Amino acid sequence: MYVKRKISFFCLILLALSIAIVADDSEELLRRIDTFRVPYENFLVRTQITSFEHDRVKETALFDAYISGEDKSLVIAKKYRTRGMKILYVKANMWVQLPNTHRPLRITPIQRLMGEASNGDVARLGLSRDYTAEALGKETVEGTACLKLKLTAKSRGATYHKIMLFVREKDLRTVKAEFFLLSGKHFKTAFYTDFKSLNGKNLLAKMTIIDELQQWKKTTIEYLSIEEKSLPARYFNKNNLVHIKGL
Amino acid sequence: MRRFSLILCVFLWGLNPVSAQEWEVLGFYKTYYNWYRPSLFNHRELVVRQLGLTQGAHFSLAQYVSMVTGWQGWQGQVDVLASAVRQDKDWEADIQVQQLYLQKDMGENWVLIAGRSLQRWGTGYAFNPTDVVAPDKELSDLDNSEKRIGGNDMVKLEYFGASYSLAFCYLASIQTGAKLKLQNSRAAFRFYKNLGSLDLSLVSLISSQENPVWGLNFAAVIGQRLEVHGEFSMQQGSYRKYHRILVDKEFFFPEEPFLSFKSNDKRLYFQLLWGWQFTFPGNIFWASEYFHQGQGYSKQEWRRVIDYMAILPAYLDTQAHDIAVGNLLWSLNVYRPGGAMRHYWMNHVQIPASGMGDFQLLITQMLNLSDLSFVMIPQLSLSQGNHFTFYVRSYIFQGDKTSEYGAFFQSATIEAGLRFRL
Repeated sequence: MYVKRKISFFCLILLALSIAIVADDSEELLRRIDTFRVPYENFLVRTQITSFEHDRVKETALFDAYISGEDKSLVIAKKYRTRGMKILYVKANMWVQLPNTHRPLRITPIQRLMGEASNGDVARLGLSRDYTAEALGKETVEGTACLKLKLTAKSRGATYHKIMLFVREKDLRTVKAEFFLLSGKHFKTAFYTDFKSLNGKNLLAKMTIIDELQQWKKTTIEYLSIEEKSLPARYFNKNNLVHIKGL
Repeated sequence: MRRFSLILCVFLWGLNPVSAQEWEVLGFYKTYYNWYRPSLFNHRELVVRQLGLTQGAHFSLAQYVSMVTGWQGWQGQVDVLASAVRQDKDWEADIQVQQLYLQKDMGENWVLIAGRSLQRWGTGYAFNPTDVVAPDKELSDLDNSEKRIGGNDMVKLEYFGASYSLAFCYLASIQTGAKLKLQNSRAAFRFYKNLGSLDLSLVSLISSQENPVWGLNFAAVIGQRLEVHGEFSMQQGSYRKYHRILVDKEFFFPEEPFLSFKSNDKRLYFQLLWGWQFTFPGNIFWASEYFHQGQGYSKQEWRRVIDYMAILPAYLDTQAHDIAVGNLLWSLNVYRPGGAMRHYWMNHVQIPASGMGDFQLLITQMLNLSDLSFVMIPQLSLSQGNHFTFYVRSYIFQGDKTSEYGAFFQSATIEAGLRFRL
């Protein structure tokens, strides 16, 4: 009886260790994928979003996203129909401050920002904090040999419930992503089409998101410039949003 | 006034877009048509005539300029709304300073502002019992997109921690004249704390003229599409003005018959708001709120006012005609933007029309749960790029003739307008 208990205990420890190792591997894999999107701890990325309908430009907007560590970001609309709109992301929480309202409203990352782009597509660049990855084998996408990964949301702040991510086998550069709703419906697909070099780092420069339900709609997200920059901590407090000026 | 206008012009010149850090110019041009009706508050259309309201098309222009500038670590914001309405072949012009304040960011954590500023502390969409430092919202423009609501004069100091903030506000009304006077001084506090998915704020307002107001509000997100929020406030006594007919058997009142006779009441008066916002697939947005205000007229009190209004016409053809008309006009003061009675339910729906460009249908409805009368505000808008929005909007007041909105002198309005933004 005593020996049986010991074996069971040993098995449990082994199971826990193996889960931890798999989790570590998954996180490390996503961290490597993130290096194409997150070049610094604190940085400013100027993002241009263009939405198309039937291949005609419908709307163009410009956003400045200030990223602070893994779990904070502040997005300011520089050119948009609600110019001056601010989106704040802290841990799993998200607020929007519209120029008219004088108070921040709680929102969710999946809510549409513009075209097919969700708030989280601009405000939440890294994947490792929000998702766990499971390798599903290899597949060729657009002539590129890729690893197919199933990403499942592990944090409440994740933009999507599930992502099928295709990364280039040789360097883990993202090629394509399929986004799924909680209901299991595949509703958007993104193609990562352009990368550019900055300070010796190869960074994502452009992605195109296609609406799977209305395929005549697509949206491009272009990262125009990236610079290392940090903001004081109070900029990431929702009550300070009304006071942010001159950014 | 001339001197003030001159100073304002100079100030605006100094803050011209070239030197401004941020600036915004909005224009609102609209034509509207009002329909009035005989009602308990508008016997023989007397109220409409006395107020100089005319049925028919009206035209209004408004321009809003907002500028932010910085100097030596200080930042300043000025928002001005200039408007002109065409009434009976004449133009009536008005200029309002909606915000005019200086802001100083002190170190990493402190922010000081001084001047006229619009600060919203509540979490509600239409009703805000804990918005103790801001004026009431307008039901037809809950987001204040037409900038008709301005701020209050205040000095505010706020400390920001990692997940909390502590604000202190001193508010006063500034009376300009031969001497500058401060009136109606009051102090407000807010402690805010983020508790994961929950935002919680404790609020109070202390004044030398009224008992303190204590309140709390919260907002939280549940899942990916639902936001819930609530506000609660309480105050001993009610400082609203009520129609004297509730306590006085005198039938005619030679002077304004509104008194705040519940101010010495030992009872606690509560305001409660409970609501949610839900985003459906396709970005259809629905906000819904229940609002209770203990300070509102009860059903019995409203009945008393209505009985009084029903008897008034009998005196219009007598020698007491003038005083009866005066009482009729004064009685309009029972109406308030947040509702006159106690229980309300508000719904606001935004429906973007898929595949039709940037068409959007908005419907706002406020239902008085005590008498089932309502105000309905449907609006259809079309945005062209980032600069132009055309819209058609209507206001419809409906209900039984003794109900709050059924007894109102206006039955409907329709307006068509253009907004532009530079």
